[in-house]
Amino acid sequence: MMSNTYRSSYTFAMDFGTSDFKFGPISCGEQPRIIHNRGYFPDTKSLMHKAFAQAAEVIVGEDVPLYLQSADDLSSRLIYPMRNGLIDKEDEKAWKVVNALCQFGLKAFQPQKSDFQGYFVVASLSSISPKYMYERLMNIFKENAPDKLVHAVTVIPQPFAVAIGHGVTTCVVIESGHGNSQVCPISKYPVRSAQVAINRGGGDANAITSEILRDAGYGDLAAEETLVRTVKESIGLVPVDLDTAIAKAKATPVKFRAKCKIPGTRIEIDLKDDSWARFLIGEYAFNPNHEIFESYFSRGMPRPKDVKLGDTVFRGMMDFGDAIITSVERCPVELQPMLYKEVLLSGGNFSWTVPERLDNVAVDAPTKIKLLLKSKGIKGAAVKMTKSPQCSVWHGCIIYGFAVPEEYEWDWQRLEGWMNLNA
Amino acid sequence: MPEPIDGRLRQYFTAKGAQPSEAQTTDRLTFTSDKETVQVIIIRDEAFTERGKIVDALLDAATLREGGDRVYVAASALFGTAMDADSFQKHGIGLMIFDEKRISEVVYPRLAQPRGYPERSTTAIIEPRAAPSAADFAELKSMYMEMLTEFSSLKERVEQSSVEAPTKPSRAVQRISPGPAQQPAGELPSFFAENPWLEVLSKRGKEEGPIAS
Repeated sequence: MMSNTYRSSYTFAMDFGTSDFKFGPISCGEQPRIIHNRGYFPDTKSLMHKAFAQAAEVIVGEDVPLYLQSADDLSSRLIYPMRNGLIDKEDEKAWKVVNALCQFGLKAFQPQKSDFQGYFVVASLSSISPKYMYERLMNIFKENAPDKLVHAVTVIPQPFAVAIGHGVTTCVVIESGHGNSQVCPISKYPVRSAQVAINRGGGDANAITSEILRDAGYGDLAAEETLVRTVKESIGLVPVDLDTAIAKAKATPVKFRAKCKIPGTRIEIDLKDDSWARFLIGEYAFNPNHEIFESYFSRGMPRPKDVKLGDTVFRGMMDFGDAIITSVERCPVELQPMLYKEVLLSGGNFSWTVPERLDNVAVDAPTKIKLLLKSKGIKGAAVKMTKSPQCSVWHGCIIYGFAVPEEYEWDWQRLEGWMNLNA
Repeated sequence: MPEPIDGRLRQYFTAKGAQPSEAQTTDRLTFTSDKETVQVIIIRDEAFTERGKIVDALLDAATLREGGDRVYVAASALFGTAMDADSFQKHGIGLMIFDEKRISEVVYPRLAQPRGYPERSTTAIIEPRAAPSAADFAELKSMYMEMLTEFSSLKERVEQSSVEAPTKPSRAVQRISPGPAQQPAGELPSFFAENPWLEVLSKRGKEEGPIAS
């Protein structure tokens, strides 16, 4: 049995986000190491590969850009395994990337001390991950973990880790990443039966930004994903009320002018008289049901659809207010008021800023969620961003790994506990 | 008959490298220059006889400046005699005075800064400037020497402090490649402080299962 002192040095957390992989031992302190959650499969038939055939089958980490070849084959060779939070059971390429990421993470922090007998590893997956993802991940540690680097392993859902990292034992967590969003009530345990999954995330806000750029005459740039994301982050605003915001922006376009420069380039985006459209970006992320979005759907922008992945139905058009209420109302009535008193927002899709001179028209994410809940009859809800949106999952995993007793064995029904690899 | 002032102003800004935008009226000109938009609001002599015209023009100028553009008020010389350039300077709006022959840039406009940031004075009154005197150079040299002495003293203090700093405790974990800062061995990160989950999780396996899953 390992002591608390041992785990205060050798607890290791891995957060598999939709875009980033955050990992590191407890000794990292506040901030883990972050790399892209992706892997590159080099062309093994290429002359370069034959000449320098030292490369692994999958490249992960900071070295990926060194191996990138033509842009044409990026889509088949550069794999983001968790773009929508889930990996297909048979998607061997994606699982190879996950395996490579786990090995890379552990080897990057290989202890040299003689007292080291393996890490207590806590990995975190999307809350809607089916059981087979837990199985595959556990197997990666069981079969492929580098020599004696892992003593025991566990997997917990990301919203649960967020609640732990934030220090709240009863709450509702909404985690909104690039591909999807998850609402999960927590009452000392994640209430799995009350989870709601939404088939919308930061990527959808990018999609409407791309349409807006096209309408404003920047069609040539609208296909560049990184540029579109930069524009979204720079000019996108969440309106208090979309109709009012559009009316005000159209009446005084100068005040609402949306202009941004792409760093390191000569490109400058200026929406000029179309600057009112900046409010569509934020509104769409939270609530895509306004009639104005119909014109975009009719012109070919894909409408977020309800999809069934594994056993989970991902709602496409459900606004975040409805998602929270649906989730909370699946919990015992007694618990519901306490859940509304702690609504925690986590993930990059909630990072919206409010320019000072527009603070009566635009709002931040917690205020928007409060307004959505209020419009549906939930008054006095307390909505907060997590203390550290980028690292809260990793923080929660570290606390979990440190605090849960080693003798609490992994249980496939509960999906909790330690799987001891040395047993 | 002299060319209308809007045409002359267009030539003036074009000569400075700005591009006139499509949306132009006889009372307001818009140019794009390098990375910014320049707005010019014209107040002609006739404005004195039109009720509210001058106030409207000034309020428009203030609104445009709030919108992030560089804004000029171009006023006839008659108007110039009635206004104080300091007022324009104070509010960051540029002032140009014109008559039939000349256009003078009296106050150079400033871009609006986010609230709470001190605004830099960038007034550029178009006047012939006197060449720097020997006294100016002497003052600059003295300032430079003072800064050099201060820098040397700071450098010495930094070097001393790095020598005297206690050696850090040996780390349990060796990083292979650049990563985040490491926590001193044995110390728990700050997010552990007063976290109620530590107690809740430490009881796992010794209590009843989840209540609602």
